[in-house]
Amino acid sequence: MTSNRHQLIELIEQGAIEKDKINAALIISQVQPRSNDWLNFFNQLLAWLGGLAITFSVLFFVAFNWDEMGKFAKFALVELLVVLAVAAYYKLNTLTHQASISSDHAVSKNAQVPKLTESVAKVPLFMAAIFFGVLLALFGQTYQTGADPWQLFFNWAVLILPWVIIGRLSALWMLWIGLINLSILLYYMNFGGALGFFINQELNSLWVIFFFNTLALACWELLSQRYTWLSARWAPRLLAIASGTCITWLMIGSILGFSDESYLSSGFSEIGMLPVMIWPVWLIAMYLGYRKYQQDLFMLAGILLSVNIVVICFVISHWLEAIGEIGFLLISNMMIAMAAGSAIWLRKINKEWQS
Amino acid sequence: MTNIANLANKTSGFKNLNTIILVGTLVLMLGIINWEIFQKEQQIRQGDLVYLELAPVDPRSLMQGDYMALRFKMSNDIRSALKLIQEELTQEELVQTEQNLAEANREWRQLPNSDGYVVVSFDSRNIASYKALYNQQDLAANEMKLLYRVRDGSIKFATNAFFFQEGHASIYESAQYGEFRVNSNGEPLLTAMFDAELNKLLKP
Repeated sequence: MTSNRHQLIELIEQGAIEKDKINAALIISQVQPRSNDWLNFFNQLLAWLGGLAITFSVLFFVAFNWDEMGKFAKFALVELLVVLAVAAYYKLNTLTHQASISSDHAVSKNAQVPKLTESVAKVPLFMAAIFFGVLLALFGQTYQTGADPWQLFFNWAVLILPWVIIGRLSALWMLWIGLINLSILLYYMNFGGALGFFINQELNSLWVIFFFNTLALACWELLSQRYTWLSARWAPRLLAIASGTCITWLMIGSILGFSDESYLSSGFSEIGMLPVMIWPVWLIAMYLGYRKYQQDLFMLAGILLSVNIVVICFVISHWLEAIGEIGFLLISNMMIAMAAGSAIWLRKINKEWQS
Repeated sequence: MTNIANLANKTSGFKNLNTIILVGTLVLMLGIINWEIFQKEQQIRQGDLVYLELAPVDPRSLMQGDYMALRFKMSNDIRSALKLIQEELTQEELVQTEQNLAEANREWRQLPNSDGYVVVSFDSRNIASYKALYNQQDLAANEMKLLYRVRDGSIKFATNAFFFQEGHASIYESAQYGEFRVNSNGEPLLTAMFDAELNKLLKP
């Protein structure tokens, strides 16, 4: 893998860059961050850490003073925080807006002064969304209505949706998607059977979570071509992990369900052949998407992991007993070979993209 | 210059819409939650007073640090009634092969999740006792309907736990009754625990 750093070192060794311009080259090739980048980084880091600290301090404050504070005092405190967070967001948003307009007029004048970056201005909105969840939880805890847990997260997600839409922030969308996932999971745990998690009735939740996250991933990738604020790669990667885990698990279930010797097969017997049809489609779509359109090595590595797990699982459940003791040796060798093969293939693709 | 002005106008238009959504959502959220709080407070003040007798729970799981697990005697009556209905249904529907019986038994052991109403009558002290499952019948003057939920095989009235501050468990050990306030829809709200003589259990 040749990174920017290595390429630059090579260029310098060949004498392609003049000595007094090495520093400039380091900055242009993004090997060395500018002081502005550092300021930006600290700006972001401190804003998020501050937001997190305030949220947790409220949580602990309310929990510690549960009996000393009346219930209305608790409600008032949290509601006030929601309002304050929204007000802070409004104020910061206006400031960044003005800053961006004035910088259009006088680009060179304020270049040295670190501007309020847009994503920092959105931290209060994220906090407001969190505080609203705290408010809902406080309501449920105070009145003990016995409502099902999934309703809390679903109501939370529905009510913050307008903020999520106007926020144009990856973290807010991921919070929203996470809440929906959580409510799906809790819904099926509530209305599923008493059997172990991830087996039998909970298969439904796996299917629903798989389809939801795959849909979210597809939308994210399509829309991120148009909207730059969706370009953060961590978000679609998390979505891909969720969707990949579900479909791989379903595939494993399908394999175990059809090998009669497995003691797990009774639990998986209802899974049917559907994963065997969906999994290859998912693989091909992911491969084409991340090889051709949105080059992402992480996703390709994830696909390979899924393939490796499924193949090993198939071999273990179908052939291990027939082969006997030597089977463990053969299968462990096979695992090593497949992992090594995957790594070599990934390296090859990375080289191909870099050249 | 006009271009810049246009751009500023356009973006400020977006900004206005965003501000409306931002504040509108905030007002909606706080409106909903405060309305709900108001409703619950009304129910606590004006709802019908009902006491439900507690059934003994496994003592190891009764007190869990900061809450006690609740099970009401009424649940046992409801369970018996529901199982009777289930049994009749399965006997009607299934041919009595051995496999079907095993399946019916499995279903019989665990109640499926459902919501329902139970008709209770209460005495002069407002202690409720089981009458029947509610099935659109008319209610007598000393009767009312009460919402119950079946979740994970156990029957819940509002909640299946009573929360208190950590270390106050000894106060609630003598609990015999749970006090509920019931609104016009039959939805109960647990408000306090009472002992055998109907004295409210208070923290010191």
